[in-house]
Amino acid sequence: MPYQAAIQRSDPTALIFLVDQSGSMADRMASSERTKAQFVSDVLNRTLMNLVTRCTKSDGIRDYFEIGVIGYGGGGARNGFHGVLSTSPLQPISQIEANPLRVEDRKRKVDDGAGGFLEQSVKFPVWFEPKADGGTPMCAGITSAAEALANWCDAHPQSYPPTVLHVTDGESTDGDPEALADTLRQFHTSDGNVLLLNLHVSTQSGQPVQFPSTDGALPDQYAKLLFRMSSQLPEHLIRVAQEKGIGVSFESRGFMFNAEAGEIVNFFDIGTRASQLR
Amino acid sequence: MLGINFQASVPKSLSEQEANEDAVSFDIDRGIFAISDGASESFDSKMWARLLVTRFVQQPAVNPEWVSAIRQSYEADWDFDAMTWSQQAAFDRGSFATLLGVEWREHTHELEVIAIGDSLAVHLDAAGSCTSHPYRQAEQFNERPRLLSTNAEANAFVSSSTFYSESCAVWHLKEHSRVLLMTDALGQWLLTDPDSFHARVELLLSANNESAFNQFVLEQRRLGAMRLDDTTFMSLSISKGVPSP
Repeated sequence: MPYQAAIQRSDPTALIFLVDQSGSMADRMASSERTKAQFVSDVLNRTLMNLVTRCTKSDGIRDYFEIGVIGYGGGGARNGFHGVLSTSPLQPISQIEANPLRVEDRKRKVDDGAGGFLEQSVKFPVWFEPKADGGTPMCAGITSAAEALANWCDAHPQSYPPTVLHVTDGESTDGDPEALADTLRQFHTSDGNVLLLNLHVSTQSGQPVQFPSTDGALPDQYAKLLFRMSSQLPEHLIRVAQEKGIGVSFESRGFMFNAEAGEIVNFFDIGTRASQLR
Repeated sequence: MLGINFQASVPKSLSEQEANEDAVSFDIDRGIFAISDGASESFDSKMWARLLVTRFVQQPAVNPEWVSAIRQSYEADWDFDAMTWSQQAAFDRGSFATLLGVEWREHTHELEVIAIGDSLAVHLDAAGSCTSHPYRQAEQFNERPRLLSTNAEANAFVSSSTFYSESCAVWHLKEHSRVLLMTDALGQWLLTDPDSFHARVELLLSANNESAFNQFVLEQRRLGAMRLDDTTFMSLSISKGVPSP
C-alpha cells in the first residue's frame, strides 16, 4: 500500500507550495475586500506556522518536513522565500522556523480562570508576502518544482512521497502544462508517486467543486485540464476530507475548482496532512 | 491479588530511548495499573502521559475536575511569556495522550477498565475466550482517537453523559485469567487477523523478557506487520502470592 511510510527525522517528507503570482491574483475575492494574492499568502503563512507547530517539541524542532515555496508570475518562476531561505529550493522545517521575514506581535484574550479575560501577547510569523504581476508562466513553475523533487526523491528513497500544492487562478501563458505535470507525478519514492494537488481560486461567487472523481461537473476545458493534472487522493487524505464533511470517494482527485475562502483553507489543511509523524 | 507477569516498552528508535513518549505507573498493593501513549504531534506528550498515569494510580477517578487538576500541574511547569513563537504555538496546540487504567476489586474479583484513546486492554480467560476494550477490530485503530489534552477545549468529551458508558468496562476475572494492556501499534497487530488471534497471543506471551520482547517488536516492524511507534506492554494475572514485577 502506498502513502503509508511513517514520517520521521531519518525519512522526512517534502512539501512544495507552487503559487500563481500573476497580475490577476490582485483581483478581489468574492465577497471580500482582500485580493486573492493577499488571502493565499495569509493562508500559506498560517499553514507554515501550523507545520512548524506540529514539529515543535519542548526540546526543539524535529525536521519531519522539507519545504519549498515557488512563485510564478512576471519574470518567470522564482523561490518564494527571502534571505537565507531562498538559497535552496527545499529547506528543513527547523530553518523555516528560525528564519521568518518578521514576527508580528498580536494580542488575544484568554480565560483568566475566574470568569474574566486577560490580554495576552502572541507572536505571529510571516514568511511570504503577496505579490501579483505579469503573466501566468505555469510551465516554468511546474518545471522548477520537478527539478527540486527529482533530486529529492533520489536522496530520500524510503520517504513518504513529496506533495506539491499548486494554487492558480488562470490559464498558463507559457504553454500546455499537462505533460510537465504528468512528468512531475511520475517522480516517486518506494512509498508512492509525487502528489500534485491543484487549487483554482475564484473571484466570483459560485458553487465550488471539491475533490471531484470525474470531470463531468467541471465547466470548461481549463478546469478539465487542471483535473487531469491532479493526483488521485490517497486513502488517509480522503479520511481527512471526510472528517471535514466534504463528500469524497476513493476515485477523488486532489483538485478544487472555483474555491473561495473556506475551501482554500481546507485545501491547504488537507494537502499538508501527510501520514503519521513519528 | 492482581500482579504483573511482565512489562516492557520499546521506543520508536532504539537509539533514542529518552524519546519514548509512553508512560506506565502502578500500585500493586492497591491493584491499580495504568499506561498512557503520548501523541507524537504534541509539545510535551511525554510529560503529559507521565502525569496522567501517575495521577490515575494516586486517584483512579477520571472526571472533568480530575483532568483539570492535571492540566494545571502541567501548565505550572512552563513560562509562556519566555517561550519562542513556535514554542508558544505548540504549547497552545496542546499535548495529547491516551489513558488506559485498570482497578482491581479483590472482594468481587472484578476489574474496572477505563480506556480513553486507542490503547487496548485484552481479557483472556482460562477457557480461551477473549474480550477487548475499547476496540474489537484492527480497523478501529485507523480512526482518529479521542485523547486527553492539556488544551481544555479538547477534553469536553469527559463531561459528556455517555463518557463512562463509552470508556469503561467491567470484567469478572477467574483463576488463570490474564489481562494484557498495550499501546496502539501492538493492539492493532494483535487484532489484525481474527483467525490468527490465538497464535498471535501465544507469540506475544512467549516474548516474556525484555530482550525477547525487543526482538519480537523489531521483527514485526521489519516484516511491516507492526507500525513504527513506541510500543508498551503489560501482562497481568491473579496470583495468590506476592507478584514479581
